[in-house]
Amino acid sequence: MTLRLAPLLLAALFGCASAARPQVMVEVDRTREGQASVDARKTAPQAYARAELLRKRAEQAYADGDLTSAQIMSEQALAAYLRATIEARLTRAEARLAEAQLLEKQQSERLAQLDAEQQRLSAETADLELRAKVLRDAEPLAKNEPASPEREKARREAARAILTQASLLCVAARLVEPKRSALPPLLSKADELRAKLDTAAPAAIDDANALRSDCLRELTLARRPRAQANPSRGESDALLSELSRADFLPFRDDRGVVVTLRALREGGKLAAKAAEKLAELGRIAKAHPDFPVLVVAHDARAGAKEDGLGAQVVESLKAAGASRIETQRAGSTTPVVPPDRTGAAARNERLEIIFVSPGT
Amino acid sequence: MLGALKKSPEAARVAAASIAKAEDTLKRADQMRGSGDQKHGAMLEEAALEWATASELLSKAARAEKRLNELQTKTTELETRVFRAQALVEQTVARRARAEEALRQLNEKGGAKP
Repeated sequence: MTLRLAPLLLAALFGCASAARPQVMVEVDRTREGQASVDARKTAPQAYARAELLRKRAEQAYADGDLTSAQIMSEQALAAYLRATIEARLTRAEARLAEAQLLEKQQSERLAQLDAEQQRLSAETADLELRAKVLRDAEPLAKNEPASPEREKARREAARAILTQASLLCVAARLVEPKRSALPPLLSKADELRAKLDTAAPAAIDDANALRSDCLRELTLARRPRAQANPSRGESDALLSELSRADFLPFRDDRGVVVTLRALREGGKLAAKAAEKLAELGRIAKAHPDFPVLVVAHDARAGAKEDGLGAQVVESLKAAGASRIETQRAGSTTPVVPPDRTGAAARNERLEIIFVSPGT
Repeated sequence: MLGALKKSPEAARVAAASIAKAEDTLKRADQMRGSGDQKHGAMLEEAALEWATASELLSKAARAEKRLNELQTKTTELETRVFRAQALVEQTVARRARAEEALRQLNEKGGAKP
């Protein structure tokens, strides 16, 4: 800057006539010295060199006394410096964009890997936990000794509930693997124990517990080939989500994904709303053909007569497209609330639609 | 070039100052040519083209920066999701190890495998 001003000072001292430097030339100098131009010199060298050339031409025109040309060329040089700084900005943005695109690709791939790993690990963990549960259930309990008549009655009711659970687990296993040879003897044993409960004392609660463990083990073994073939398939998750979206309030248990329906009849006939729900469930069952369906009818009180509701429901589900269905009566052995409580009948009389999980 | 730039609202917004300079310089070029000064008229036209090119480039840079900003936001979200997924996987690995250990102990105790 000092060097640039020197000729002006000398001219002033010696009284030589010189035209005033146009404001735009001062502006060009200021722009050229700014940080953005300094950066552009490295990042956009060609555009910067062009701006420099234009500035020098303007300086030459000024030195030659052609003020108009100096003014116009300076304006062009100013625009050229701006263009160089923008080119530098664009180059930087494009480089960072390429980096960000690469990072996005890497993160997306990593996320997909982690999701797949998580699904596989979850399935493996669920299988291990179920195997541990089967073993734990099979552990011998302290033998139950004869007790007071009240306690014996409670034991008998508990044994009936456990036997129902055992039978349903064995039936679920049969739906998964129809020809599993261990199942018929277990189901016969359940019938024998049930008959014994009405006559013999003490109640065979230990045998009922052991039978439940055996049935759960058989169900786990029936599922294993499919679970091992493809541990990461989240089939139950998809079904559960679909049923949740359809407002069926489903839940999961050892057997699979369960939907509970109540008050299905109106004036002795299947209510219109219930028919709609069953049609929807039938459509869902059709969309998930790997899940066999187990329909379990629960009565409000002991000794209730078979009213054909289970069969009627099976027909409705089949009409809507479900194929592999079996129905079972659980009687009043597994109430939701104690039968002597107000409103218990309405809660206990229910129908369970179980989508039996074919894998874990 | 200026017409096309002005048609795009985004370009008209980000490069308003340089578009105005280009238009003003072009107007002065017309006046110069009108007064018979062809040489300076041509020089002004070149300067107007320089401003217009800078405007176009500015619009392009703004678009690239906007895309970059959007992508950076997306990448940050992805990073958070990856972090959470990683934590979940670690939790599940620990859960699986506990289940394996429980199963091993039960197998040892019972001497049977389901």
